[in-house]
Amino acid sequence: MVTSRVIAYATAAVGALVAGGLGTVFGVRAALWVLALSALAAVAVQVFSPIARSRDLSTAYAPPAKASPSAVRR
Amino acid sequence: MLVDALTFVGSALCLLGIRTAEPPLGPRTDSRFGRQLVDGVRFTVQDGFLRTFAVTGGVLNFALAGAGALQILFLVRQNDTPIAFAGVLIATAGVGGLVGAAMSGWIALALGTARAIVGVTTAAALFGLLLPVTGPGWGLAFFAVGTVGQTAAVVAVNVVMASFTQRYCPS
Repeated sequence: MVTSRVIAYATAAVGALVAGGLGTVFGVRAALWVLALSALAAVAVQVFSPIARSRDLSTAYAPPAKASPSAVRR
Repeated sequence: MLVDALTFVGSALCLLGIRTAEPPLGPRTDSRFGRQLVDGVRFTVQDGFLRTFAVTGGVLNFALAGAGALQILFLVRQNDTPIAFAGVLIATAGVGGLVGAAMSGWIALALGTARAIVGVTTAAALFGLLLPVTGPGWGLAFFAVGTVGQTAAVVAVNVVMASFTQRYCPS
């Protein structure tokens, strides 16, 4: 939870900085195109991830979750 | 500003209103904070689901924060939007967020949580592609639809991912 929050907040700051840079160099509309297209990367990552393999995350993984490759569980 | 302040007061009252006693946390196997941090990061990186969630959140936030930084400039300077109307347009995105939050449970049930995440993330990306198409006058409709749809989708996918993570993660 915390780790993903850190990633989320950090990338937001980077995104705003990159947007400013792109906007200055290539114009605001071009920068918006780049940013809009970059969001498609999230879809690409998901399609090649374990979540794309099932319909439901919870039912597929709830009880036998300990068998998943994630070793560290406290 | 005033509305912001009032929402903070409201939020504080709600927090004070919580009367459920939290059960004490189980004994920590390792009390060192640094160690726990490392464990958390390792857990997130090694787990296929959480890693995907983290990357999804990171990429979407990158794109959204970037677009957010430029949107006023884009509306006012590039598309000759009156400033007050630009404010209205951006505020409507918040309405999209409410709709997304309200619909998230229904979407997760209808599609399944995994497909809901992929489908709604795709929707968020597609709505985002409408933003740079925006033009002056009626062309602002692209911005309105894009920003409302994208905010709704991003909020919905965050609700689905966060509720799953809450059930899935070890404390």
